[in-house]
Amino acid sequence: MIVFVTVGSTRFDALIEAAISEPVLTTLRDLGYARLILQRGNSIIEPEESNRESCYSIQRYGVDIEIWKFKPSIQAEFEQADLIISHAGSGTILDVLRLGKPLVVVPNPTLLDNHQEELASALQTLGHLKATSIQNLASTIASFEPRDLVPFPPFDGSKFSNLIDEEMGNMKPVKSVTVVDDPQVHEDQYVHAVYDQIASHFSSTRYKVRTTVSSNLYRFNRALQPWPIIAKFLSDLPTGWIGLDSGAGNGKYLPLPADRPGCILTIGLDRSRNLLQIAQHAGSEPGRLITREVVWGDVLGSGWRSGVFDYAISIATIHHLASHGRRKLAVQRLLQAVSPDHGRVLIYVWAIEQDELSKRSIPTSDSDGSSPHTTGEDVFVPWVMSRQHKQDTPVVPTSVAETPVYNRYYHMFANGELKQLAVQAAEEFGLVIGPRGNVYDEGCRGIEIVQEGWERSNYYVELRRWVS
Amino acid sequence: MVRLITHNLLACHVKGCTTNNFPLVFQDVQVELQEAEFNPDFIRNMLPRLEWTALVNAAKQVGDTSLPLEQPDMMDDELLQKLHHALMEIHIIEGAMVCQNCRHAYPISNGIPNMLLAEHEIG
Repeated sequence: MIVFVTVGSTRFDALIEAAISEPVLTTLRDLGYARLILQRGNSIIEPEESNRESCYSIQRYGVDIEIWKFKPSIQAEFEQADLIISHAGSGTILDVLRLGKPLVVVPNPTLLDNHQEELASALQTLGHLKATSIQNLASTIASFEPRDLVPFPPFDGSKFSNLIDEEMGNMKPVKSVTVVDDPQVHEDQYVHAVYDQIASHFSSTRYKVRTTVSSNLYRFNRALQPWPIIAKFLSDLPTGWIGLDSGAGNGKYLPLPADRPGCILTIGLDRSRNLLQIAQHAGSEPGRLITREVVWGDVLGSGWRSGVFDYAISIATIHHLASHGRRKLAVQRLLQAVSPDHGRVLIYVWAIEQDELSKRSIPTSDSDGSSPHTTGEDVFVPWVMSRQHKQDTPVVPTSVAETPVYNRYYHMFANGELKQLAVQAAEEFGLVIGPRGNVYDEGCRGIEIVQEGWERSNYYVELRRWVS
Repeated sequence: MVRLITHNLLACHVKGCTTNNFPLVFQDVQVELQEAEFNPDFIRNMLPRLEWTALVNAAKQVGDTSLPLEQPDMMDDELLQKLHHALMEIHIIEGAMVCQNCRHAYPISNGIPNMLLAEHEIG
């Protein structure tokens, strides 16, 4: 029999160390597990030389062990394994439970607030998995009875993909930053890598909110309802239209419009594969798995037939691009993706002007505060994976109890900057700016600014293409 | 997920690859069928966006030969049902989509197509 141990892409040295320790290996061996496949992610294994190779094998206490940094097809590993031992990342948990495989999870005590622990214990209470700690891993495996587990319902999307976004938790004041690297290198480090790291944290944050926050707090959360302008934009589209959500994140807009589901089709594009795995089933309900169309790609790419979409939305995405030129190109990609004849585009970006519900405070770069913002601000928004405040049982500090802080890069837009960006992008794309009128020659191409404004700490602009 | 409706929109975007870059050809695909709610109005209205021949060929590549070679003028309910099945219920889970022009392969893994390009390939 095969046991698969994974910590996803996280660093969880203690679990990796425990998985190949004598008590765990001898227990596994006695139960008939001859092979252990281990994905260490970013965990460090002693001796340090072991970490240089992406994959190597050892044998210990009668168990053949394969150690990988990242296993190419993790789904296949889940499928072939007879037992899975994992960190309590929600993505992993979902994948394993959906396959109906026996799962033992060990929440990472250094990541805590503790969302992982809450998720794990909630699912354990429901009987879907077994949660344990590093110290009790061997004894849990020894006493574990997979037959006693309750089969996981086909997919309870509501638990994981409720429409709450990241703003709910762990925000700290933003700080000014100057982009000194190549913009793409900067984005790789401060946008793409960060989202992949915190993707599972997103979904466990949502889970936590869903299960523990009172309904009163719900009403305060500005992110709970789809934003009215976005919801209306999608709701107004004719049946049969196909669109692109460029930077779809966890896919919260893919199920819309709520009043006419399935009347339009929105395809979600994102740079974070981890977020796409959540987006892939956005809006699913218990017993009703809905699969969304998602594509792993870059908003600066153009892997579509030109003009094939009827509409495109770009919500909270363009502000992650680290230069004016790249933000402009992103707008041009949207214009290029939609029909020259009737294509509609809706863009949202973070505004410097934040509302009172926001937990962010925005620095002003000018010390006297006299000059108004005209070009926006480059900032870092820290995402904190805070560690547990109290620990019930004193544990031997097996790994350094750091509090990881991930800095996400944003360009916060100044008043008027988004419209200016859209106009410039459209003009350079060869489009006339303004409503379709009679003054133009036949075949002239243009774009109308249908609406623009500020909503809940964001600037937005809606554009419509036309041909005269 | 890659369904044929999405496949019909995707085109190769490697730098300089601008002709014959659509449709991408499926390679070594694994397919899964998943029922979806039939919405005839959606199918009927959406259809003008699709390249019919590309759709018929792609459907053949994944084992569905139910669609006529030429797009019929009249869309009866039976044909709409067939289109619904071909477009919305066949999921390509693993494999790749290959550009006929530049041979670039876009892998599909766990139902997610990878359309990312390396920096030197971006146009």
